This record gives sequence, C-alpha cells and structure tokens, in this order.
Amino acid sequence: MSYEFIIYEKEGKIARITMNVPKKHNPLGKPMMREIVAAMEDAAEDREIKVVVIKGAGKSFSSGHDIPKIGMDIELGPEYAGKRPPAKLLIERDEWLKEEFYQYVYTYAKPTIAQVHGYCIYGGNNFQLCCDITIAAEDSQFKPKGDTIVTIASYMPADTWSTAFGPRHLGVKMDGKIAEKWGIVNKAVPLEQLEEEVEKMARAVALMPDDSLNMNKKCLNSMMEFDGLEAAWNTTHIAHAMGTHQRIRSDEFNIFKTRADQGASAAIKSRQRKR
Amino acid sequence: MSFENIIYEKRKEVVRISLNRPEKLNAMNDVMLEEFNAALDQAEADTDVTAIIIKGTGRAFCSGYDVSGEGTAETDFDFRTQSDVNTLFRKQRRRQESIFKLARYSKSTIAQVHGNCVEMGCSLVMACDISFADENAQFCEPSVRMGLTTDMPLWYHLIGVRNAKEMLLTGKTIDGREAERIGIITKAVPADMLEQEADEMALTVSLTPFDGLTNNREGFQMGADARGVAEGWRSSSDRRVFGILQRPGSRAGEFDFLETRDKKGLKAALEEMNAPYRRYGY
Repeated sequence: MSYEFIIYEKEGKIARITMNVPKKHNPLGKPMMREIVAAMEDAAEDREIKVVVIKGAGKSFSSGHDIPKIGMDIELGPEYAGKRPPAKLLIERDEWLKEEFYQYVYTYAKPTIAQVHGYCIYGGNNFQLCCDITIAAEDSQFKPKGDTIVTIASYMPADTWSTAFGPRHLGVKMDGKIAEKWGIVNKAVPLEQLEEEVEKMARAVALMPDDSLNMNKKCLNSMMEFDGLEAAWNTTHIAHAMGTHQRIRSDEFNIFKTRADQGASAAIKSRQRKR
Repeated sequence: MSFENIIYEKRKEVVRISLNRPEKLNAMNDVMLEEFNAALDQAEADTDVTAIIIKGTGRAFCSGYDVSGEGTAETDFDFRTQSDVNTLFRKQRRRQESIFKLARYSKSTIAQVHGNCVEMGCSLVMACDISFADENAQFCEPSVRMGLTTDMPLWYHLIGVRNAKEMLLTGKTIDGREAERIGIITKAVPADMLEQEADEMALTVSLTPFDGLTNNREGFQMGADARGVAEGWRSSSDRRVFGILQRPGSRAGEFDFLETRDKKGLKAALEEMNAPYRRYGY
C-alpha cells in the first residue's frame, strides 16, 4: 500500500511511522489517522515486528486535529448548510475518533514508543498519551504558543490519571522538561539526543519475547481498566462533543467567528502575543 | 517455630523479619516462602506487636523468586515439570499469598532496602506501607526478559502507567533515588542512615494509638479496593500463569532460560539473558 500522509518503514524488528505533513505540523485529519491505523495493522500482522515507533516529520510531532476544520469536519448533507451540526452527529464523529483511532492505539498488542519534538498539542498529545512510552525533546511544546485558541473538554480519559490535568487545561506553559515532571512523557532529552534515545529503547524492547511484551502491557492496561478507564472512555468524548457546541460570549475570543471572517491562519496568529 | 531462611527478631512492639539466604542474595525458595508466611502469621498473632520491618541480610535485599531449580518446586516456573493448569494456578496463588498478606497486613509494615531488589523483591517493598532504601540500591523487574509477567498489581497504582510500562517493558534497573522519584519507595537515604530511618519510623508507629492507626490503614485499603486493586491481585496472578503456559523460550529464536540454565548453570543463564540489553544501555 502506498501512503500519502505518512512514511511507513520496517527495519528488522522495528516499524516506524512518521506523520508526514510537515508544512502544517502534521495535523491529524481523518485521512492521516486512517493511514496510521493501516500501517499499524500491517506491523501487527508482521511476525517479525516487535515494536512500533511513532514520530513526526519536520519541526513537530503533531499539531492535533485540523484546527481550520474543527467543528466542521463531519460529512453533512446539504440540509445542514450554514447550520450548527446536531449533537448526535458530533457525538458520532467523536466516537469514530475514540474507537477507530485512540482506542486502536491504546489497545494495540505490540509496544509503541512515541518520539516527540516540536509541537505536541491537542490531538497530537492525545495520540502520544495512547502510546506506551514517550520520549520527548526538552524544548517540545505541549501547549500552543500564545493564549488558548479554543478549549474543548479532553477526549482522553488518560488525562484524568495525570497529575497534570489541572495545569494542562488552564493553559500553563508546558515544555518537555515540565511534561516529564508531570508524567505526561517518560523522559525529556536534548533534541540532538532524541533519535538515539528512542533507537536504544526500541532495540532493547525488540530483544524481548513478544508474548511477554504483550502480556505485560495488557497487565498494566487491565489495572487502569479496573480503575475505571473503560467507563471513562465511554464518557469523556461526550464532553468533547458538547464542547464544540459551546456558546462563546461577545467579550471572549471566538475561534469559529474569527476563522470564518479572517481564515484559520490569521485566527491562530491573532492569539499569539509577545510575552 | 524455628527458622532456617528467615531471622525473626522481636524487640518490644517491633518485629524484624530478615530474609536470610545471603549467599543466594536472598532469593525466595520453597523453605523461605514457607517460613516467611509463618513469620508474618506469628507477628500478626502477637498482641504486643504494632509494626514489622522487612529487610535482608548480606549484600542484597532480595533477588526475587529463586529460579535456580534447586529446592524450588513451589517458587520456580518450570513448565516442563508442572504443566497441568491446576498445579500452576495452585502454586502461583501460594507464591502471591505472602505478598498479598503483607499488603493486607493488620499492622504497620516497613521495608528497609539495600543492594539488589529484583522482581518479587520489588513486590515486597511495594506491599509495605512505608519503604526506605539505600540511595544506591538497585531496583529491577526483569520478568519480561524471561517471558513472564509480574504478579504484583501495585506497579500501576504506585508509580503510574507510564513509569510502570517503562519498568515492565524494558526490564531496566534504576537506583534508590530514581525509585523514590517515581514512587516505588517512600524515601532514599545514604546507606549509613538506612537502619536508623526504618527504626525511627517503627518507633513513631508504636507511639500512635493502635486502633486509630488500624482504622486509617483499613480505610485506605477499602478505597484502594474500590478502585480495582482487589481485582488487580487476582488478575495479575492469573496472568502470570498464562505467561508460564506460553512456555517462554520454546519458540525459535527466543532465549530459552530453562534450557540454558540446565546446560550452563544459573549464573551463566542470567548473564546470557541480560548481556544483549547492555549494548543499548538497558
């Protein structure tokens, strides 16, 4: 299969998936997510592959779901033209994200290592949270530059297990070092050492018997599930769906209106102020 | 009861239970497992006692379940001689029983860790209320390298899923300071302060009204169980049996620990298992 949005490589026992829309910091649109899943399926079926490394081309890991398209990325018929989509369709879209993407990654049988640099925000951060182990560059960014563009309840039930839940959602600046401290990533290293650290870990993990890698991973995932994770998956995305239905007051920054009037880039830039 | 592989010392309200097979780095074999259980029971039944300290004699705290194949009918995972499911479940439950007993103990539990703390050694530490370690103690859970899983559910609850996945999926070794940072132990201290810290904690506990302390500990346990810890004990124990049933090492290309041990001895087998990882810093 040939890929448009990702680069998929296999070398010995390691598979590597590189998100590849670097000009836009690798946004996670549906086509990109479908290709990531297809590549992971291939790695899952390949008896040689023991571990999957996930990374981003260019300057960033991922900027998350397509900001220019949020709230609009549902296939709607002409009867909805110019109107706010109904809640049912928003929830269906979020269920797709939850089941076909995030849960697919989280329940994946083989170990996954996320290699994070640059921006790792919104959906990008959700993605790395679903991986088993994350190594990040010290200067990677887990909050977008500038003030919060939009705040929508997090998808990720894993967020509620992180002590950083509060700081993350209040827009506190968060680089790789702080993310390591708060447990959002396992380890932060200087950017020039990132590739090597991930390589060493992937090669070490690839030495292990794959049955026991899978069983140990499942054992830990079970503990989270006994703790309520399964139920949380089924509810947190609803808050997210409702979030795109939010009414923004006239004295608050309105992404939807600004985007419609000025275009997405201008809207995003307008929130970046010099500190 | 007189003990061979355990030292049981009672001083006023505190009982110190020392793992005592220093020449084997306190690896838990059948006799030690039996005696450890009996020691826990004895201290619990003794109405004078308010706290126990778990420690090890010699160079290490505990190097885990004894996998030498000698005197280890209960503690080993030799699927070649124990392949019926009933036997495997029964023995695995017995192995986990003493850790579970420690975690559910009605009196305060303190771990005092120096040197190597491997596999089941980590389970002992995490089952205790409070733990102190030498800053340079070495913590490791290498089961994954042998094709096995841990039978200790509390990795997730104590250190979080991210750190737990890193420890369990890489089998890496960390020191006392790192163990404190991520939450395996309460506090890392210089070696010469270790004994004193544990003793002072035992003293503090003995000064606390016993019923109140018992209530607090039980309350905490109830909350933990409601969050799935109770399920976790059963699930992790059973999963370890499934792991043994997978006959680790018997697939082409996988390291066969049991065969290597039989041919070359325990030490050589462990070295052969761990050497490839060192190349990558693990």
